[in-house]
Amino acid sequence: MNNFITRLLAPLSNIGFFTTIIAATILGWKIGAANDALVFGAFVGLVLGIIVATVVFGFVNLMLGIHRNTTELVLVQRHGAERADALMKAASTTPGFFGMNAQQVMQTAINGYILVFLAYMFLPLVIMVAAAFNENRNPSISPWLGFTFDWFGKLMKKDELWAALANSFVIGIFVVVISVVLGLAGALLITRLRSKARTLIYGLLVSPVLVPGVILGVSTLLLWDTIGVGGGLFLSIIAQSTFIAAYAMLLIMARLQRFDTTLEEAALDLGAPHQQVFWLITMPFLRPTILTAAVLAFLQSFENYNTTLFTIGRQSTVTIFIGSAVKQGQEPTINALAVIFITITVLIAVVYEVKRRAEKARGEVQRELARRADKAITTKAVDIDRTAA
Amino acid sequence: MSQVSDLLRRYGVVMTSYVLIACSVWIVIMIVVPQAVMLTYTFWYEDKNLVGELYREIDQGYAQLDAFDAKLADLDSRISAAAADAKSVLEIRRDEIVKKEKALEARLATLEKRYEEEKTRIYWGLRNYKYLFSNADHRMVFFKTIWASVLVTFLALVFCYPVAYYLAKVAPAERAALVMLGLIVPYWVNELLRVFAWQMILSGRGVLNLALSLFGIVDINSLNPPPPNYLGDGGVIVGMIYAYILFMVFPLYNVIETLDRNQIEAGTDLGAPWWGIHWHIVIPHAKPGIAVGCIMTFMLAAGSYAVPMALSGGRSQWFTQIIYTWTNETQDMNLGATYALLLLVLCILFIMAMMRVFRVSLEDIAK
Repeated sequence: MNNFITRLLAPLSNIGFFTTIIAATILGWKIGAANDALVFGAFVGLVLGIIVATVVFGFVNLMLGIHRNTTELVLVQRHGAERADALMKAASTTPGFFGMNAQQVMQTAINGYILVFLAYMFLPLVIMVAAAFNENRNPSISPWLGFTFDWFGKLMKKDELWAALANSFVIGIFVVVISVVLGLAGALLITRLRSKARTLIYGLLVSPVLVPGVILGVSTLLLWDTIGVGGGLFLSIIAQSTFIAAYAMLLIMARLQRFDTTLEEAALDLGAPHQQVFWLITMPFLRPTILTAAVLAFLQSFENYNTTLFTIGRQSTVTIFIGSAVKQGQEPTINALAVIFITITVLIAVVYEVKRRAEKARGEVQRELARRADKAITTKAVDIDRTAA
Repeated sequence: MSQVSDLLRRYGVVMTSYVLIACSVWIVIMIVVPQAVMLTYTFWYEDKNLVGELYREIDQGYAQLDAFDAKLADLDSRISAAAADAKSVLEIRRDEIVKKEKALEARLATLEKRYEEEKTRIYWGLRNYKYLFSNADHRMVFFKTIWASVLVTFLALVFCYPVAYYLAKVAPAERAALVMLGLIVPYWVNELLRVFAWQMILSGRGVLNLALSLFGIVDINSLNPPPPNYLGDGGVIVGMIYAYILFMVFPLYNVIETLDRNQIEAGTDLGAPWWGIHWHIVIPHAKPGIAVGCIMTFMLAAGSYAVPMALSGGRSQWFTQIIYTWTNETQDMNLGATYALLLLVLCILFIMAMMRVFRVSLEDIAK
């Protein structure tokens, strides 16, 4: 009986899975076409279809217990042991359509889930980007009044944006310098400390990362207010550095933990002065990480809103500019700015990825060469052994 | 002391002094003293009402003085024009006014002196805390901030766990790298812009209503009544989940990746069901990552200013907005400090709770 249900339900649920998605897409398409939003309707249908199909059929399958053993049993009954074995093997290598086993059902479910998750992350960004090219005076994709680049032109003409950008750069550069100097000192100190002192100082230095930016902003503002320094670029630099330095410290510490301290000790034992040891041994080892820390510190500073909001006073930065634009919710110039931000982010990400892959490929080539060389040497050695014998 | 001499031996005098000076500046001036100052701010206050009253009184006094001056000028002109017998009567009135004016001037002088005193005078006491705990609205907002942040953290954990597990253990390397790239891009897009995208979705003529109107549920073009929008408490929570969910994915991914795949395979071979593998193998291993993800997400949600600003639609108030009002609009720094301190205490309590629940130390957390 159980087998019969399994035999019936496995293909049904898989057909159902794909039928649901296709049907939802067609339905969305039709409804969209009736409302002059054909592509949008189809897209909504597709996404909803994937969600519904994953939830209903993916998990129903699991609940019914269509797992590997029952599937195998069915196949053995039908085709005999040998053939069943071959079929199971084939099923595990080719994407299963009929008679997916539990693992494959899981696979389908999780693939669908990842797809939905990525759509969830990107859909809002896509909408925001699309609205940057709509002639509509409100940031929106409906009604679509025609394609335009006007909002980019209007954005470029905003003087307050350029002033804010200059401020962001000034703050960013100072934050990078302070964060790297402090972060390096913190990392050098903590990796050399032991026991209780280490825990205490480590906890203190890391605490700004675990506390809301609002609190860092308010407390910095209050401290400097007591000696008559009001909000402005200076306070923003100080407040941001407080927690960005901690990020730099964590990065440098991670690198220092892989540092072979015997190198330093050897140099010291051989009579090298401390400065020389630092600049010729420690620093070259840390340099790539310090560079990464500097870049990340700049990005963190540039993107920071909460801490800056409380300490910037009457000045402005790019995030403050965006914040007030969002608050007033006016023209799509902010969408144009978003397009620029997203483009830069994607470019950096792609460059990083390409570089990573190139490095990986280079590493593989080197490994392969080393392997071949190794093999050649071994065969040579064997040959020599043989001739010797 | 032995630790300092160890430092000296390792780094030399110059480097050791750099390390020690930089770290003390960082700890003292940037971390400890600001928090200490914030704490002392919560224990005193200025009597703004009294200062305001004095200011108003002085203002009125000067207005009266002007009126007297005008009257005197009027009387002077009448005296010079009047006949001799009328003059004496007018002069008596004039003297009376001069007397009143003198008295007023004296009073103004004392008032001004008092005003100057009161303006810089501080009172020590618990007014700030009393205000905070007696204000029912603000208390409600505080509790809402707590449960909303807990909800956001919990949902982010539930949504992210499968993604992190997939990336770390299920996906083939190439596809994992691609999906990772797909997550890093939105992660680096500014928080404000991501929140703005949700404003475009949830507002009255937004994308959500557009989608609903395709199915005939909402009329997006109706003017009266206008289409409903979804801004407010719900909108803020939805926006927070979107804005901070990726701060949960990466810590989870980092720890699950270090799990030896053989452990999972051993579990499968011994017949453990899939949920058993997660419950007994993956989740115990992922504890530090779960703790970090929860702490970061909770902290960001509880301390978020951008999300309520963009998605409350003026309909709901959040704790950070009250802090901002105190420090930057009403200029009552003492109340601002008190509210910020409460938020700080909340975050510390949450961190301690997470460390207790997941049995991890601070060092595990910041890895």
